[in-house]
Amino acid sequence: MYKVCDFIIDLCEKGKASYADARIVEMNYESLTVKKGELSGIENSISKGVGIRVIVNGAWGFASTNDLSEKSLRKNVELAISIGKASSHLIKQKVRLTEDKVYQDTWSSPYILDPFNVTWEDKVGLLMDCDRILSQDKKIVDSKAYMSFSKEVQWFVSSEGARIKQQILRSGGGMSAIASNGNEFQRRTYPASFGQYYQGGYEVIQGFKLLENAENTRKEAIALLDAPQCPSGKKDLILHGEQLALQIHESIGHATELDRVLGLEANFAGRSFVTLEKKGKFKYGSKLMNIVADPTCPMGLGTYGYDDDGVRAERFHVIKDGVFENYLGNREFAHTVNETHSRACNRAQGWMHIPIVRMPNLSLMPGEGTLEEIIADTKDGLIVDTVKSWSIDQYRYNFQFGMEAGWVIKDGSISHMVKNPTYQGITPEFWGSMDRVAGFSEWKLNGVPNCGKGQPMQVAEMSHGCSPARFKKVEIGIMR
Amino acid sequence: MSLTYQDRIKEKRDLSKKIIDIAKEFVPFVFVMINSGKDALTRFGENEITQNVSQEITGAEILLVKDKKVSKVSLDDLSKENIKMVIEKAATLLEFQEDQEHIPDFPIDEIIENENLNWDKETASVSPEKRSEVVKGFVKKCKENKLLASGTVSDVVNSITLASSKGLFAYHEYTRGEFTATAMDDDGYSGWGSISEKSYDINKINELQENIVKKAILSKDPVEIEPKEYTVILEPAAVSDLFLFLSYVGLSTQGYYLGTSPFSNRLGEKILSEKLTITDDFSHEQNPGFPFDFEGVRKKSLEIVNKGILNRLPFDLKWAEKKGKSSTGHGFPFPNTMGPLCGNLVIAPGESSMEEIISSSKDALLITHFHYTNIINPNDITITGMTRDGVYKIKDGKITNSVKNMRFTESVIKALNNIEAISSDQVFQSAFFGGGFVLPALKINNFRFSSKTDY
Repeated sequence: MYKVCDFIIDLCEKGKASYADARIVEMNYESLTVKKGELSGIENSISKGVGIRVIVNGAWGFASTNDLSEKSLRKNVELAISIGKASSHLIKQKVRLTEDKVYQDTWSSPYILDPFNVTWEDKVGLLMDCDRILSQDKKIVDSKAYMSFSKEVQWFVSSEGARIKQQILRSGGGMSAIASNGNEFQRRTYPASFGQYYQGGYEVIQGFKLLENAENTRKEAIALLDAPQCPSGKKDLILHGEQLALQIHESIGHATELDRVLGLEANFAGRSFVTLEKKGKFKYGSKLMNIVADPTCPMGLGTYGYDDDGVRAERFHVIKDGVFENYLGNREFAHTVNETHSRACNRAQGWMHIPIVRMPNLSLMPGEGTLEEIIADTKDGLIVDTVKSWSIDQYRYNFQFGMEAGWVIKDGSISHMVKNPTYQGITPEFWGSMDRVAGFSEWKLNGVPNCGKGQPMQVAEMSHGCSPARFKKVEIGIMR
Repeated sequence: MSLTYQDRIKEKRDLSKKIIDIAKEFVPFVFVMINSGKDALTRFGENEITQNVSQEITGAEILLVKDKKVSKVSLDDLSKENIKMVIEKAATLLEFQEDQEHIPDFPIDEIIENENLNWDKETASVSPEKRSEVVKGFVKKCKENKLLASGTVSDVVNSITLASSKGLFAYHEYTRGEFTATAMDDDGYSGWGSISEKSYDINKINELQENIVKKAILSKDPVEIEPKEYTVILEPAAVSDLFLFLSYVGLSTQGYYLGTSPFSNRLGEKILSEKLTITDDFSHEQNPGFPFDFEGVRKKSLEIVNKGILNRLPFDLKWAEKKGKSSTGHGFPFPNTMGPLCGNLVIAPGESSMEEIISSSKDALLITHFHYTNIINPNDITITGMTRDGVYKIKDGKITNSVKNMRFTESVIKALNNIEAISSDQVFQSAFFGGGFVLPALKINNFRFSSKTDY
């Protein structure tokens, strides 16, 4: 594949590109779903193509194709160059890339069991067994168990001399049960709303203990039907797992992506309230708030050796002791925040898309104590579980989330389950109200396998690590 | 030299035959879907071009069926050797699969539209320079008014081909010229608009650009108001969010029969305002809908809601068989866990123009569109989202000032039962799976806002 990349770079240089890179990506994907006792089919997909990125006259051009014939490659290099020339007529200044170190390297995500070698009997059998347990009640009107795996191999070559081969294996899955009493329905999922995913092999699926958790998933879906509605008003809110991960993702991750801050997403995803003058001084949240970007974190969905600029991944603080420190950036935008090297956050979906600023794994660092201690320390609160609904404004400022289930806390212990819990807040006020973060023993990664951004839309994966945290006097029960 | 319509069809017929011939060595029945297209997009922000891309792909999804076992593979390396290797592997896997309860009885048909129905030759070959010119025009207008321009200009050229070993061949191709943009002042207040049609109409784009700039100017110095219930006039882009969730949750046939739709067991009953008549009509002149669904069944135009009464539901092959009906051509690619859905809704227009609706309103808010709308409670289709790019106060029939953005939390069912007026103009709004909705503006009473923001 390097030979094909070299051929492309040579053509780009002959076409007067001042910079060029070629990224060939080969993706193998497999998914299995069992729905209401029926195997909905096994899907396999194989995709291979190349993305060609050039700087011509100081402007970017990009063309991608899955036709790797010489004729097609020549056509697409020409196209990328003509696009760069067209762009150069309307730019304020020429693209300035940081002078980061150039690497020739290989990198692979570790795994134990290759899921593509696990027998179909084992995979389908597990899903069938889960689905059977999920649906063992007349009130369950729909059930689903699923798993999927992807193996992505990428060759990256740049005109600066970079030659990097990376392989990433991702595995994940989950299950859901929908209960109905004729008047309403409630859904419960495990281990996360859209499944849980990690970098790793089939050992990831084994670690979920799907079978052992199917009965509880079914029972909680049914229990929600008779549970009272979530009360309205202000209560202390305990977030953990997937929901706290989503809170980090939406109100910190996207808010600190430098392309948004610079206005490049203004017409679509929006801008950010974390404007440039806030770097190094804005109080984002309480002193307990330490947010770290870490694309080197083992098993994270946003873990890589090098980003799609060819820059080596690095760990850094985005927020330290509650104060905003660093944006998520790339080689192109580093100079806008007076940085001389890239933060290695430029990633593309597959071969088809141009790299854009993407959050890597972004985590809330652990504090002290346990969830049990936090609950015991809460007089009037609510603990919620599993993402159901999310919405945040175009500045990443006003948000509202809904979860599958909640439990009211009274005088230090859990009182009862409630349905349709929601909460709403303003980002810095909300993070400013965080007064407890549990310790490392309860810290875990939560995968986001479906983050959409950009035009044309790209989907990226990342993880958010966190241990349970408490937020004081949060507005809950919004929909009532 | 570019290919003629007949050449393009032949090219896809030959490719599908190649795949079917290889697959038939391994299985008795093969169903193929070929997606082929190019998406070229110029993106701009802060009054300059920030991203400019061209993406092309031809890929195939292949269903292999043997007895009651099904395996599906997708690939985009369509060399004979690779197709054979992939199919051989997928066919081997069939042995390990459990029987399917339901395998669609795919039709035998030939569906080919008239040439140029949804295809524009010029849009199929737009240069990056032409897109740059469109951007330049908008940036100039924005700069003249001390505004920042952002948005995209894109051209999409696509075709979908379905074929089976039993004799199905269906081909649909389309082009889209799209422009969407925001004009924003230094304080972040803005105007927005979008257009998506078979071809670029520069006059329409220019008119839209002027309107976006006007709305941005009108958005300056917004006033903060308290979140509560207001009478709202939703422009079509805002209306589309309501109908997306209505279609996906409320008008889902699978949801209807599983009991997860709030309209379950309510066929023939009044579910929405009597002012509302909703059809699913791929053939509407503003709709770029396919004439067939992803199972190869010819699409029917359906009157889903007649004057507020739930009239009928869409069907695919699976749900038609389960309920003893015929497919209406609303199936999605196999395996489909969502069931049949309406992807080409058309809301019947009202009698008043937008201007008349505004001038007859004593006290209302005019909403441009919503941001990041999502469902909170499917039981009554309660959704939430933020207003965006222009909220305007209307007093005694006139727009008096802009107001700051607010978050709404409202039941779609309640909102669509509180319709006071429907505009006579309709526009196409992109929705999902290559479809979209043809929508008027709606005036809705008692629309609930739940919180405010500083922006």
